[in-house]
Amino acid sequence: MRARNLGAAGIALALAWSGAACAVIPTQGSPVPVGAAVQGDPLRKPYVRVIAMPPRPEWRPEQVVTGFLAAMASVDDPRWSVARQYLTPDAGHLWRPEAGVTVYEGQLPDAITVTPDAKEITVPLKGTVIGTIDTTGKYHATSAPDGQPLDQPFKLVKGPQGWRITEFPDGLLLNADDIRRSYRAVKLYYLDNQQKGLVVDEVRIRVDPSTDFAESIVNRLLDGATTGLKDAVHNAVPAGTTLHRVSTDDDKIIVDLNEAATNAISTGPGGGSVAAMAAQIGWTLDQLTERWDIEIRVNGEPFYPDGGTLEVGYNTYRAFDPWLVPGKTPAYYLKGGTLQMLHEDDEHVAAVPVPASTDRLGDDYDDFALSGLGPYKLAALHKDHKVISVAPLVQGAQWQQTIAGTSLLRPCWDRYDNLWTVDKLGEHSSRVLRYDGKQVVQVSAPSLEGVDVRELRVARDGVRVAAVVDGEHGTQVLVGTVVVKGSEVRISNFQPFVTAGDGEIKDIAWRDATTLLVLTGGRAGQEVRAVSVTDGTSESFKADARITSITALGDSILAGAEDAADGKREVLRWEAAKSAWVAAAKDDATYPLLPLG
Amino acid sequence: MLKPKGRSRRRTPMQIMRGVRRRARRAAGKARRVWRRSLQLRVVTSTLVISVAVVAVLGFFLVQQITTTVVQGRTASAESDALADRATIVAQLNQSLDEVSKQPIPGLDPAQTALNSPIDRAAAVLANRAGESGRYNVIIRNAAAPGEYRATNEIQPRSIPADLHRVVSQGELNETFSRPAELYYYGRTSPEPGIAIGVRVENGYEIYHFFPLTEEEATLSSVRQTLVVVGVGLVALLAAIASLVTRQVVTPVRLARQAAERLAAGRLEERLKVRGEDDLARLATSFNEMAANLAVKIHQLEELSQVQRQFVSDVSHELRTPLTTVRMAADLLYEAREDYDASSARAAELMQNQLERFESMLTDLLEISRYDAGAATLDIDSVDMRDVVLRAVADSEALGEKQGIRFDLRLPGEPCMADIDSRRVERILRNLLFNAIEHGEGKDITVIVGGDRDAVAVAVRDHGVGLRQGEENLVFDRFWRADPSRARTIGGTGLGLAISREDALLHGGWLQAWGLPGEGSQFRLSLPRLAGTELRGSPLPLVPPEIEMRRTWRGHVTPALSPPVPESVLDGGAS
Repeated sequence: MRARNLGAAGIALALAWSGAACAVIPTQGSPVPVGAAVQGDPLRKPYVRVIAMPPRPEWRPEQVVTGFLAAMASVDDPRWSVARQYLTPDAGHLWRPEAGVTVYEGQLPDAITVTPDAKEITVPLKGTVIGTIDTTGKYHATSAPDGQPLDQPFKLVKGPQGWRITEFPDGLLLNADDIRRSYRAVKLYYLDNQQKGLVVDEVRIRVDPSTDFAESIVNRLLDGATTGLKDAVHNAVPAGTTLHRVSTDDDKIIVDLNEAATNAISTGPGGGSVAAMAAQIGWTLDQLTERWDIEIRVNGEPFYPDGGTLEVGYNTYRAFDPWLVPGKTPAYYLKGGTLQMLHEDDEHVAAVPVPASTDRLGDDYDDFALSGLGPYKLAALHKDHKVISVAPLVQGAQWQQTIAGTSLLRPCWDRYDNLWTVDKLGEHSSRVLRYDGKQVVQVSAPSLEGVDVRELRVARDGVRVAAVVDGEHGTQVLVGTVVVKGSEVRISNFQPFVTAGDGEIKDIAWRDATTLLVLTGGRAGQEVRAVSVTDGTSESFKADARITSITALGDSILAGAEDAADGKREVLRWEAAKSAWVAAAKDDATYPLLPLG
Repeated sequence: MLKPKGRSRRRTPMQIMRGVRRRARRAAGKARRVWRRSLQLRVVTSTLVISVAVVAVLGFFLVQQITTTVVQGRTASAESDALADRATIVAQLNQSLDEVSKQPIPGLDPAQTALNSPIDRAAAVLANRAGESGRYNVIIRNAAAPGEYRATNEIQPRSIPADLHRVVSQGELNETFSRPAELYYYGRTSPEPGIAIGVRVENGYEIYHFFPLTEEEATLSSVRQTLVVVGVGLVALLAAIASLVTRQVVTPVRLARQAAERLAAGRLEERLKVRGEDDLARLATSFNEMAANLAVKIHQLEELSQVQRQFVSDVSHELRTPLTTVRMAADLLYEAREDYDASSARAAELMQNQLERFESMLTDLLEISRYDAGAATLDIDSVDMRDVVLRAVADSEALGEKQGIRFDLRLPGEPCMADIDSRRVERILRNLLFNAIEHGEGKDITVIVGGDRDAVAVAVRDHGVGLRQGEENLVFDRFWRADPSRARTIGGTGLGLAISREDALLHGGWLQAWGLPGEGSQFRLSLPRLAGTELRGSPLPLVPPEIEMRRTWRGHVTPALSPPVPESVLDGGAS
C-alpha cells in the first residue's frame, strides 16, 4: 500500500516537471566573460559571380553580344563552354580564351534595327581599352591617361538557333565591372638578390569558386614572379614545392605544403631560407587577414623533421624587411646652410641642427640624399655637378669624395648603402654609376645609355629603378629592375609608366616599394600622381603650384616649395586627412630629406 | 587458419562441407542445450530483445520530433530572411544606373564595391548581408535578359530544384516558395542539406536563397549519436539488471537443484542453507524438511529390511538343528524302508527326498542371507575354465540322462585361464545347467566356452519354451517362476539363479539371460580374466548367432517383393 502511494507520487511529480516547459533553458547563472570570436573566415570573403547562360533563340543580336560578354566574365565555366555556344561552331573551335584579357569601358548600342530577313549583322562595341591582363596575371594599365580607343565590331549570322557571332579574337574582352567582380588584385612577395628584402609583385587572380582564394594566392606565389621581375627576384620557397591546402585555426593561417618545402632549411644564403620563405608567405597572406600568425606545415605534419613547428607571428615576418612598414623615421631639411630635423607638429619648429659639416651646405652643394640605415649618411652633389661627397651624420664627420664625373645627377641611396647616380656624358649619352663604399662601378643600363636621363631613383626594395628620360617619346618615366648576376649588375626591363605629354615631369619620388610619386606640371597646373608600378594604375591629387620637388616615405610626403612671386622657400607636408598641403618648415627651408627618399 | 595436414589435404570438398555442417550442427546443438539449460540466459535475452525494441521505437520518435522542431525553426528564420531580402533586391533592381549610389558597400571585398549594374549591386548587398560566415547564398537570374544571372560565393546553379524553379517561374509575382534541397557548392565534393527559397519579382527576375542546414545537421547527428549511445547504454544496463535479478533468483534455485541431485544420489544428509524469510528461504526450509523426513523413512525401512534379513538368517540357523535331528530319524526310517509296507516305504522315500530339498533350500537361504549381509568373500585362484565347465557338466550329466538330454560341449582348444573362485563358478554353471535341464524339454543343451584377452565367457543354450519379453531379468529374482502352475520337476529351490547372479557380480562379471518363446533361451556368464578389473565386453554373443542371423536377413528382405532368398546373402550372414 505504501509502495503504491510512493509510485503515484512519483508519477505525479514527473508529469508536473515535464509539463513545466519553462525549466528547459536556464534563466539563472553567474556572469561569464565573452571573448571576441572571429567573425567568419577572413580567407573567404563574400563575392558575387556571373553565371554564364546559354543564348536563347529569340534574342536580338545585341542581346546575344551582351550574353557573350557576360559569359566571358563567368568564372563558373573554366573551359568557357557556355561562352563558345554564342559563337558559330567554327569560331568556337578556334577561339582561345586563355590568351589574355582586354579590359574596356564602353557600351553596346541600345537597340539595333534588324530587318526580318537579315542573315548577317554587325554589332559595334565602342569604348576605350583601359588595360590588359597577360597570361601570368599581370595587369597593364594602358599608359595614356584615358586609355586607347576600342572598336570591336561583332559580326553575327542568323542560324537555326538564333544569332551567333562568327569571329572573335583570342582572349577575353571584359569590362571594368567584370574585372572587379571576377579578378582580385593580389600582391606577391619575392626576395631581392641578397634575400634580405621583399619585392612586391602584383597580379590579378581570377576568382575560382572551386578553389579557395587563399590557396589560389599561395599557388600563384609558388609559380614565381611575373615576366618583368623574374630575373631580378628570388623565391625562397624551394623548387618543387606544392600546396596541399590553406586552412585557418583561430587567429592562425595554416599553410600545408609538400615535403619539398623542407629544402628551405638547408638551402639559401646564410644556411637556410626558412625565415625568408615564411616572410614571403606571411606577407602574401596578410592581404586577406589582419596580422594573423601563419604556420607552415609539411604534409599536415609539423614543418621541421624533428617535430618542431614553424609558426611565424605577424611581428616576425613584418620585421624581416623593415622597409615594407617603415616606422617613424626622421625627416630633415636644409635651413640656413645646416641640416635640421623636422618635427611633426609645426607649432614647435625647434629645428635641431644636425652635426654634419662646418660649412654652409647650401653654398657648396646642390642636391642631397639620405641613406637608409642609421647612422645616416648624407650624399651631396657639388654645385658644379662633377663630384658627389658623402659624410655620416655624426659630430665632426668629414666629407669624402666618392663619385666624380662630367655632369652628375642627383644621387640616391639604395637599401644596402650603395650610392647611385647618372653621369651625363653628352646630349644623348648617359651612364649609370654605382658606388658600393669602396669603388665606383658603371652599371649596364642599355635603355638609359642612349637617352638624356634627368632623374634616377632606386626604390626602397632595391630592385626597382625609376628614371625620368627625355627620349624620342618625349619626357617619360621609366621603371626598370636591377638584375644582379654574380658580380655583374645591370638595369633592364624598363617599361614606360608616365608620359608627360605636353606637360613636364618635374620630380619623382618613391613613396613605397611599388608606388612612385610623379610631380607633373603643365598648363592645367601641377599634379602629383601616385603611380603603382606593379599594374600601372594611378591616382592623382592636387599639387600646390609652388612645389618644386617631392620626397616621400610611406604616409609622409614632403615637398620643397618656392613661391614664384616672392621667391620664398618652404617645406610642405601633405595632410591626407585634410587633403591639403600644409607648411612644415618655413623661412627659407629647402631640400626636404627622408631616408632613401 | 591451420595448414592442412597430409591426411586432410586428401579430403574432398564434399567431405569438408560435411565436416563443416557437422561442426555447425554440433555448435548449434551446444547452443540449444545452453539455451535450454540456462534460465538466466533466457531472461536476459528476452529483456534485451524487448528493451532494444522499446528503445529503438522511442529513439526514432524522439529524433523525428527533434529534427522537425529544429528544421522548422531554421526554416522559419530563413523564410523571414528571404522575405526581408526581397525588398532590398527589388529596390536595387529598380534603381537605374544613374541612381546607383556610388557609396561602397561596407564589409565587402573593396574591389567589388564599385560594381555598377543593378543586379551586381543587389547580389553584392545580399552577399554582404549574408556575411563572411556565408549564412546563406543567393542566386538572382533573369532568363529573358542576357547576362542577368548572378550567384554569391560558391553556390552552384544546379542547387535550384527543378520543381521549385517551375513553381516560381509559373507562380504568382512575389509569391515565395520554399523547399528543402540539396545544395551544391564548388570546391565541395558532396551536396549539403539546406533550404531553397525562391520568388519571382518584377521584370522577370527570380531570386533564390539557399540556407545551409549543415549546423543543424551536425546538431542533429550529435543528438542522434548521443541517443544511440544512451540507448545502447540503457539496453546494456537493463540486461545487466535483468542478469543481476535473475541471478538472485536462479542462484538459490540452482543450489536447491544441486542439493536435490545429491540427495537423489543418496547423500541424505544434504541440506540447504536458509537465508532470510522470502519465498526461496521457505523453499529451502521445505526442502530440508522433506530431506529429513526422507532420511528418517529410509532409515526406518533399512532397519526393517535388516531385521527381516536377520530374521531369515536366524530362522535358517534355528531350523538346522531340529532338521539335523529329523534327518537322522528320517535316515533311519529310510534305511529300514524295506521292512515297512509299500505305502510306508513310499512315505519314507518321500520324506527323504523332501528333507534333502529342505536342506538344500536352507543352505541356499543361508547363502543368500550371507550375500545380503555382505559377508560373501571370494577364494580366487587361476583356473582353466574348461576344467570348471567339464566338472559342472559331469555333475549334471546324470540328471540330464534321466531326462534324455545330451550335452553338446564347444570348448576352445587351448587352456582358458581366469582368476576365479572355482567353487562359486562351478555352482553358477551347475545352476545354469540344472535350469537348462529343467526347462529344456528334453532337447539338447549346448555349452560354449569362449575367451579373449580380457574376459572369458560360458554360454548355456537350451531349446525349451524360452522366455517371454521382459522375463530376461525376472528370471534372476528370488523364487520367481515363469509359470506358477508348473511344478518343479527336478527340485530346484527357486534361489539358484539369484545366487548365481550374486556370485557373478561378486566376481565383477555379468550373468545375462536371453530367450524367445519357442526358441529356447541362452544364459551367458562373462567374467574378467583378472580379478578386480572391469568387464568391458563379452567374448560370446548373448543372442545365439543363428537367431541373430535370421533377424538380420529378415530386415534385408522387403516382404512385399519376397524374392527367392539368394544363397550369397545367407552365406554372407553366416560368415
